Amino acid sequence: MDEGIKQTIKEYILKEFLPGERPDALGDSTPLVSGGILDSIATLKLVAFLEERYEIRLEAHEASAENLNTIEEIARLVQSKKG
Amino acid sequence: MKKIAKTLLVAAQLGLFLLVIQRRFQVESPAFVRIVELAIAGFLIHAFLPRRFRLPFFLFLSLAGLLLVFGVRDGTGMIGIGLALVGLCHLPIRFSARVALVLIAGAGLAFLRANPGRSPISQAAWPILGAMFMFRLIVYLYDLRHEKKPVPAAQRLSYFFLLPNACFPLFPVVDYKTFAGTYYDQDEHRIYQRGAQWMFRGLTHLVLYRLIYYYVTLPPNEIVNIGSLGRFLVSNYLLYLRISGQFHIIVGMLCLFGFDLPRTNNRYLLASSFSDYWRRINIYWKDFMVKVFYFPAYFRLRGLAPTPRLLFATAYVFLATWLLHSYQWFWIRGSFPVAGPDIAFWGALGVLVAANSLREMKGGRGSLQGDRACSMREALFLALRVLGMFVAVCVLWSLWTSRALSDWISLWTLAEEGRWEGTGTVLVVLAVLLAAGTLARYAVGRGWRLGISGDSFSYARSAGVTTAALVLILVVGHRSIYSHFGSTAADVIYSLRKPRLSRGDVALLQRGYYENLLGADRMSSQLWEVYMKEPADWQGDPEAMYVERGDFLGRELKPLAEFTAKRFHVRINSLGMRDKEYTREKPAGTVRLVILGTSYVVGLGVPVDGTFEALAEERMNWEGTPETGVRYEILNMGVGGYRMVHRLRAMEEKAFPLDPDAILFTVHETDPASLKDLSDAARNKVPIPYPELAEKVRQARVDERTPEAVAERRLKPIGYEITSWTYREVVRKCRERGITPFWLFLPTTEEHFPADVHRKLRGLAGEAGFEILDLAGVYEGRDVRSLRLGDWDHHLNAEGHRLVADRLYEALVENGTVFAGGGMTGGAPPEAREPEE
Repeated sequence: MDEGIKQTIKEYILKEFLPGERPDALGDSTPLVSGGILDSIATLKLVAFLEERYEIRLEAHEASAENLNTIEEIARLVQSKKG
Repeated sequence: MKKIAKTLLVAAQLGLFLLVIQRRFQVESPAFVRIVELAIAGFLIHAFLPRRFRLPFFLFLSLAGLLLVFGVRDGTGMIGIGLALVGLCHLPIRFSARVALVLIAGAGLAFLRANPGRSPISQAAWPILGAMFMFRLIVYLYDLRHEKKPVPAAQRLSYFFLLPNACFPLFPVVDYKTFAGTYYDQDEHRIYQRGAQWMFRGLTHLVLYRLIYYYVTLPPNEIVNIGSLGRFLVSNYLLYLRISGQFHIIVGMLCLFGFDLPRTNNRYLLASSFSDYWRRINIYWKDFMVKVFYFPAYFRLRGLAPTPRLLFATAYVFLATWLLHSYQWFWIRGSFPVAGPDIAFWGALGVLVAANSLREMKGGRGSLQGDRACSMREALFLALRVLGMFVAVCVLWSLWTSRALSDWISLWTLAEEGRWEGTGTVLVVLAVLLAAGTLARYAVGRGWRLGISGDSFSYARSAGVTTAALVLILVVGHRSIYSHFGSTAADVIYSLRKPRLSRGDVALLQRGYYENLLGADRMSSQLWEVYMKEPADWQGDPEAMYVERGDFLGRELKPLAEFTAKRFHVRINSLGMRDKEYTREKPAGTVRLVILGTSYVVGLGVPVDGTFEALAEERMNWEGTPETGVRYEILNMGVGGYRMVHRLRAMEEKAFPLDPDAILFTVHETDPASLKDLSDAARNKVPIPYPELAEKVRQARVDERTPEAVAERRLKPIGYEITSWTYREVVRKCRERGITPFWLFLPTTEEHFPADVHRKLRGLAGEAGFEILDLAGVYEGRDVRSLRLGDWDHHLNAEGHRLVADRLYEALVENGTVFAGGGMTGGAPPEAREPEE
């Protein structure tokens, strides 16, 4: 797993959705969707960020908790899309 | 060993839960109790089964639940239809062809739903079948299209045949992926305990709901000032507790079988913005909308800038929500509601959520989400937002639950005088809530938690608190304990034990509103449940029964009409009465009594010779005639829907020409508040045939432009004045003709008898000069519910009519007038009788 992708995603989530939160409070397996950090609007913002940053294209059904619930899963999705 | 103990501890909590719903608070239907019994027995077996057998066992249990609640015919019908629908989703053909086939099957089922005569299953089964498939098939097909891993058939079928569904037609839209993905996703005992905890939480919601429904809600026609308006708005919104309670129980019950589903509501009363409200109130619905409508629309509009994309996608979601609520209503009731308030509510909420979402898209949700520490000032700001949202949602909710936009607008038309009454109370309540909210948010930011709330779940703490709370409810709910709390508290606790209709819903039931109740899909209406029990064609065909007159009386029974209503063949006699045939001319040697009244007197639902007037007449001739030497007739001139002034009019126009010796003027405790005769006449520009009353109505500012609820509200203060006037007119007109006027008080079969109203009416009757036949205590010592035709129809059944007939006969004997001196004065001139003092 590319640690750089995880770090970039983590920084983005901390900046956009958890301002003021301690970085160590957000782990790779912290639940983002079921934990209430990513709601529908936040998910769309995150998807826009991922698509732009990694030049990938996500489909509607991929924007689900199954793929986006943790930083680990998001990074895995990004890597699979990048091929 | 420890695992077994943990399982048994959960089972013990479930046992306590069952005891509470069986012995203390009958919060839902008897079917619910049966399903809970089945779930507990099933849980004890399921929890000890090897994992591979658990899903098939859950499916077996769910199917057994359907058969248990609906019987073999309906149960197998529902299972068969369900299997066929799921089978269509898996045919070895193109996905689009499968979707088309499901749609065709859905259309066929919709046809059967709308045509009960051709339906293979009963009316009661359709809402449940609809709840199982109407939304879950959409989610299932969506996920099936993107499914990659093989899934066991038992899991697929379990998703549709969920055990608690057998008794809940309003069901959370469980997501298929979540259903599959959360199955035993953590320690099983934590999942089971969460289930028991949520079921208990649901129970508390349902008891609270009942408290609000019985004691806080107000009928719209009682809103006269700021205080009552505030009470109406808040209580109306809080009725949602019923749905949140049911949803907690449903999801809790599913947890008992390993489905670790997320919560369905998240402290929705604490929403701080419209988007936040949308996220909290019904999370499963929001997730369904986001998954199937919002994201697909947003992703499809890639070519657009973010703002229009978001706006279009949000508009699409709220349009879909409105349409799908109508669709849901169709499966539940068999017809589509086309309601202005629906459109206005979802439209307004859509605009507000879109505006809020745009703000969040650009600026984020704000830093006070969650439980982070904050200053007192920040806490105050958040509390203000929450309070503002609560008020805004109360207002919006009142719009949604109104039957028509005009009804909602009329809520805000307060009385001219005293409209500011209660303002102080409202402001004090708001200030207290604001202060409490501020302190609570500040405290939460510093790590304070209340009881078992919060996200950090502990098995031991949850089990301890839930067990203790259930034991406490069992103890406090026992008569020997709560009777020590004082009569008021004891009465309240006693009343919460059983389901009944609130005062407002009773009024609607009596007025027959429930037949077209658009407000019933607002998810909280007890009245809707009552309506659901009514057999098809119960009411009969009004066109066959009545002739429209176009005047003040509005309608009358059609002479010689024959029809079926309330399971009995009915024949109207040649004089236009629901009675046996009588000659127009009074036979010699006969004392003729004419009874004027409402549907209680008509007596649909019992045979023509089983109405209380027919039974009393029979007894008078059987027991009275040998003594007096005259025959007795009681002519039934009751007409459904005839209010007090209608009865006066009918007496003059129809009873007097039949040369009666006595008039039995039937009255109910509901009369003074039920002036629909006058308000309808004024609103429909039909002349009121009594100038004094017409003037009173005019002075009350009721005319053709006045909405119904406002008209009722404006006439209510003069209810007793109109009653008194009507009584005096009845007596005067009878005395002028030498007819004896009897005031026949017949209480309705509602549980709560307003003794003060009865006293006042009896006083007015005495002052007017009536002979009194007071049957106020006629149902004493009996459970009034056992004297009704059914839950959906509170008119008297055969036993009720017999009871009233006996009491009426005794009252007539006690009064003596009818049996005195070989009968009555008959058509003697008025001066022949002593005027009543």
